[in-house]
Amino acid sequence: MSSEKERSPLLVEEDWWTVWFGLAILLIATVFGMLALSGNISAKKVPKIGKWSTNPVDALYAAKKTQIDVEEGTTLAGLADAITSAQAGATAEVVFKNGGARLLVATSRTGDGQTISVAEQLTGGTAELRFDQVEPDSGGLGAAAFTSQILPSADVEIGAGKLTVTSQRARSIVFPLIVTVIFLMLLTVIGVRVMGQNAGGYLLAFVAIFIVAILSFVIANQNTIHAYGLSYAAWALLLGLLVSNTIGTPGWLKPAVRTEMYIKAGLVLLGAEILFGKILSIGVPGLMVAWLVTPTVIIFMWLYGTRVLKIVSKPLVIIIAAATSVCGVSAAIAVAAASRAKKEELTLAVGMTLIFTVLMMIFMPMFIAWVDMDPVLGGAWMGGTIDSTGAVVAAGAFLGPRAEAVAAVVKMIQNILIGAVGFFVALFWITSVERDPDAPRPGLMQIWVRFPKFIVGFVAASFLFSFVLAPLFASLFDGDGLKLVESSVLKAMTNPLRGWFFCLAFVSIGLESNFADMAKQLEGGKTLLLYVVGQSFNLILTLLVAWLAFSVLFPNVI
Amino acid sequence: MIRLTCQHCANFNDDPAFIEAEIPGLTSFGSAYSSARGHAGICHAFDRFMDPVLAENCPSFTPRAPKREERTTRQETPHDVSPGRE
Repeated sequence: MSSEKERSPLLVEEDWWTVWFGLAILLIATVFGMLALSGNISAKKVPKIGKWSTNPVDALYAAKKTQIDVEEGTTLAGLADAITSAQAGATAEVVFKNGGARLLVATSRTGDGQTISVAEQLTGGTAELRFDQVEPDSGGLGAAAFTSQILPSADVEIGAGKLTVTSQRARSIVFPLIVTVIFLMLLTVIGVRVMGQNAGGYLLAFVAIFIVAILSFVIANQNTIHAYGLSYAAWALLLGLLVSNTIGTPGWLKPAVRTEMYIKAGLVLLGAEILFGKILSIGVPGLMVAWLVTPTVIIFMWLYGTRVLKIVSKPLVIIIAAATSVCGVSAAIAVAAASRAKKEELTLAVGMTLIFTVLMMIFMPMFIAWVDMDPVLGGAWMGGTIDSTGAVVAAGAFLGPRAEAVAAVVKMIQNILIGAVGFFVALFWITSVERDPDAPRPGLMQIWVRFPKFIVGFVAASFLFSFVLAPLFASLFDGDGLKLVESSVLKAMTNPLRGWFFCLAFVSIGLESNFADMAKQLEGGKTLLLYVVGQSFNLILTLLVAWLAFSVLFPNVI
Repeated sequence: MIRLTCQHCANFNDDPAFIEAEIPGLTSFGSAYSSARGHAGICHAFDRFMDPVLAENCPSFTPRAPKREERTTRQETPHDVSPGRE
């Protein structure tokens, strides 16, 4: 029953495995990026689901964007040649009509959905070029051709700048998508197998959950839905909730419903996208939010629960206090062990935190958007108050990438406290609650044992990006190292893979959240009152400190 | 010298899969495989979720039948406090 702990934590703890997953992906992406930049292979990209309007099949095709640099002094005829030779899936020619000339850019491919779109950012010159669609496609993704206004001649100098030709349905992403699912499945199943989980069951279940993730992206990328701001995170959650609250999450799917594993792996990859200096700049106000508020809320809830409400079960009070102020279930587990709680006490605290986590994950971003709060402040507020890391990232994703990054960093700073809170609660329990003078004090090592190791991966990934990869790429390929890494490693591979990990996590949250089961675990009376009052205090205090830290003392951190 | 702890006791189970099955909702936003759990497990004798303690301090310690693959190379010193509040 205990053999799993006799192996190294590096092999049995999920946190460490998420570090291995993230770093392995970063390493593979770096190798591919370097090979592509040196011209040994064509650039490889992890597929992202495409936009669509009326035909969802369009989502399974990638568009090809070609940017044409237009120099000063370029004529209309010269631009036509530049577009045609750019192999952008379009040809251009100057058409003479009514004594004038105009540029006609048409798709060079035929068939359903083979449309293009043209966007110009040209300034100066004798004439400013403007394009109109010719025969727009019914799907709204582009047109068969674009035509410019009529100019006096083909030799008119047009403005300098950039012209972008986007060729719709340039290539299918079905094969790269299959490669991606197989890659992620094989990578993660190694960890699942070594940790001793059901690896056989995981394989099939992973594919099924990945399909739900694809479906979430497809729905979110419909142009009208996208315009309403309903992100993939919302759809992933909704689809998962739909399954778990109607037919119920089937047992065979459960081996791959691993919210924590996916979210932590995604967070390690997020580290690679944030410059180390940026983490430090978010970190200072983040520390204020996470480390000032957290102990205050724990102490407030402990005093309120034991002295005002007079709840008999002291472990229950401290578990709910830690879950509310630190990070939900993870803190509940750590503090339950420190206070030697009964199984029922832990179960009750977990149930209590779950239902409010789901509610806050859905309603906090809605409220923040409704009151038009600054996304950075909103992200910090959610990071400091929503109980679990997965829910924080999901809520942040509803509000956009800035809120997501700030929310995640603040939550991770708060997560660092798990070990310390566990240690101090154990110490407090022996000295002040059970008052056993003979009992030896818990070892300081406990702080490291319970430290969420994925944060090490997050920081390591950021450090690698900022101080290793960027200088390396700059010296090898002669250019701006940060931009080279960003385009060939991050945008091509790690960013889309992070998106897939997060989406898998959000689907898993939905699949795990059965409202009927949660309601059964929810107990009213003093316990509920403790949570509601404590969380309300947490919400007010965190908003106040987050406003002070992110809006007054350290504005513009991101 | 091997110091016997809860991890050598038939009443103690720290298998993450078992813990996840025993605590409903644990996997929704958490995991028994995470670092946060440390070495904690469920003691059936006292019905508690707890870190391992030294066997000599527990009146209910019941040695577990040794498993073939079992190794006794643990590095960590557990808290040698009594497991229950009764």
